[in-house]
Amino acid sequence: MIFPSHTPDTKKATQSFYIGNIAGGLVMVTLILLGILVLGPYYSQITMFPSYELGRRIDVGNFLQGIEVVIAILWFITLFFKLCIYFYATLLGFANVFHIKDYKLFSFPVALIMITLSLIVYPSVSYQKDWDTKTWIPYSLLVGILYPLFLLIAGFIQNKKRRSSNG
Amino acid sequence: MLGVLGLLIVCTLVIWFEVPKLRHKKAKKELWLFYTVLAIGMVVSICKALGLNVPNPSDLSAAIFKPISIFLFHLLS
Repeated sequence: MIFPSHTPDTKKATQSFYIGNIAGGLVMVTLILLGILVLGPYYSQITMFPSYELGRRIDVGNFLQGIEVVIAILWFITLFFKLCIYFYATLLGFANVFHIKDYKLFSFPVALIMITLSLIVYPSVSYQKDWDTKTWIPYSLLVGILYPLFLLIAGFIQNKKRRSSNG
Repeated sequence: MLGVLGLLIVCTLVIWFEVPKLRHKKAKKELWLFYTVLAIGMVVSICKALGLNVPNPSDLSAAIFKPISIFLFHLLS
């Protein structure tokens, strides 16, 4: 967990967290609204990447065309940052588990594993869709709700024990 | 074969870059851990490069969460 354990300035981090969440939500709402208004509900349901399809349809007077290239470049940039954050979190977690101070040490071997995993994990798009619909929901329930709740309860009990032993 | 050769070159480069720093710091635990992780990565990637069947970790999680997902789909349908 990068936030809030690895952010020194908690107040600023909270502010950025809210701003990022609201901005991301706004972009999401606009994209969904545009998708439904332009493509229609059925077509935006069956296409895998509605934003790409939206970019393909932009045509201003036979002059301004091919905006899908811009969207593809935007995808590259955003995926790069997403990958950076996930990789950083992986390294931090790895260093935390083995009690190592310098997390940069393992970037090469972990990157080697990660590149190979990227080829293995999703063999095909249909496998990805199947996994996302069937496994992702219980998995995210476990990681997103049950695990933080468990940690919260454990911390609460530990805090109470410490307070009762002190006082 | 070419892929395996490239991987070995990458492995030697990684060792050449990282290990002297660790040796200099005399961090024995870190060195062991580094070699273990590198060995795991090398084994998996060489198996993949040779076209061997590498087990998929998402298959494992799919098998673990299958009963819960069946239950959830039963609730929703």
